[in-house]
Amino acid sequence: MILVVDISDPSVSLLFDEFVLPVIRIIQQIQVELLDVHISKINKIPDDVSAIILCGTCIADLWYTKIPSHIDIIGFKGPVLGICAGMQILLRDDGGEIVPALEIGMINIRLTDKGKSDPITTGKDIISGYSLHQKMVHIPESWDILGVSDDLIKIPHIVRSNCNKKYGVLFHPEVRNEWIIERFVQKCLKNLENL
Amino acid sequence: MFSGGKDSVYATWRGMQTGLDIACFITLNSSNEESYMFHTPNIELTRLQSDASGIPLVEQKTDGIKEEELKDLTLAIRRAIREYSIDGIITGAIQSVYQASRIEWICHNLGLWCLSPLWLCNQELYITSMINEGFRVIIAGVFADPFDASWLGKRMDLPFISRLKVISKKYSLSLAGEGGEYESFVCYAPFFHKKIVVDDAVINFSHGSGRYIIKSARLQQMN
Repeated sequence: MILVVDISDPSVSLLFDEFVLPVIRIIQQIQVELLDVHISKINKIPDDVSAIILCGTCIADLWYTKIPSHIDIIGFKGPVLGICAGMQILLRDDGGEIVPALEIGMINIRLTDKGKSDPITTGKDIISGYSLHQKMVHIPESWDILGVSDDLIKIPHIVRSNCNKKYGVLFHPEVRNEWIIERFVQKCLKNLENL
Repeated sequence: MFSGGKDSVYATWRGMQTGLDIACFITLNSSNEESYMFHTPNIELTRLQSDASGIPLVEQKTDGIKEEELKDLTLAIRRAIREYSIDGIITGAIQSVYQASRIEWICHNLGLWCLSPLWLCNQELYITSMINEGFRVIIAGVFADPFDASWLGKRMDLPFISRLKVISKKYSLSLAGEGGEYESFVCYAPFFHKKIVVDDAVINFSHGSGRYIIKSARLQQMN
């Protein structure tokens, strides 16, 4: 089962429709069981959860930056995919610093050599992704960069921990790049050892 | 942002359902029928929808020139900030990155939240829910095959959606009309105190596209 985690400001529950429901829909389309939960409601990760997806939120919502490190998510041994704000807290909890970086709209992301050979992004060279953030996160040394923005300022957009099965994607793959979420979920369920 | 079509009205309703206070509608009245950004059929009737719901309207005219129309949108939003102290905008965007990213930029520059509750939604579920929740919606414009004049002015009800599903599958059309295949007009929504009754309308259809132009409409108490 995939645990889909909402990290948006709980006082604006409408954000669930925009940032969590599209991810849920993608997982449901490939007929994989899931459970959705707001991060503030997680006491313990259920035993039958095989992977976690931390969803993003809207550009004005900075509530997630105040979320304390979540011991259960940090300690989770299975694959985790952090999307946008979800990537930021995932890497922040591994030593990265969240800093200002504004991007809105479609951008090109060029894959690095590691990105071209990673099981999630293999077969791609450049990805056109939808960005919607005013923050990014410095990449800790224990993470590999799989893709960077193809621009004057190279912002890491796809990263992977080199010591566990954790991924971060700064753009929103649910927009025009559903395949990233599909591949993550399918590989999590079918091919855990090779991820 | 309020066009009077189903997407912006339903997005407003979703905002209300989650406890947001809707301070005003913002409508861009574009003289360019080909605008990429703004819906145009019967746009002046947003005044009647404003009266029906008791929610004030901030209206801004625009020539609808690509990118220039964004300055007019910014003017309208600034006015809403000044007059109604808004904290954010709700849009009816479903899939258009072109529309969404431009509105996101404006909101970010003005320090506003931008919420699009229909973003990437399941379109069949959305339009079915809309009908089941009591919305009364008519087709105000058609702009793609196989739509013809017979669709104009028709009410979107469950049999209509069944018909729409058949042709959307056959012609690869968006069920919600997100590709600009059709435009709609909302005569009643659950937050309206009165419904809109169309007394007079004309159908203009030629070269594969057409509009249902409402000449006269009024508010009527719900039974």
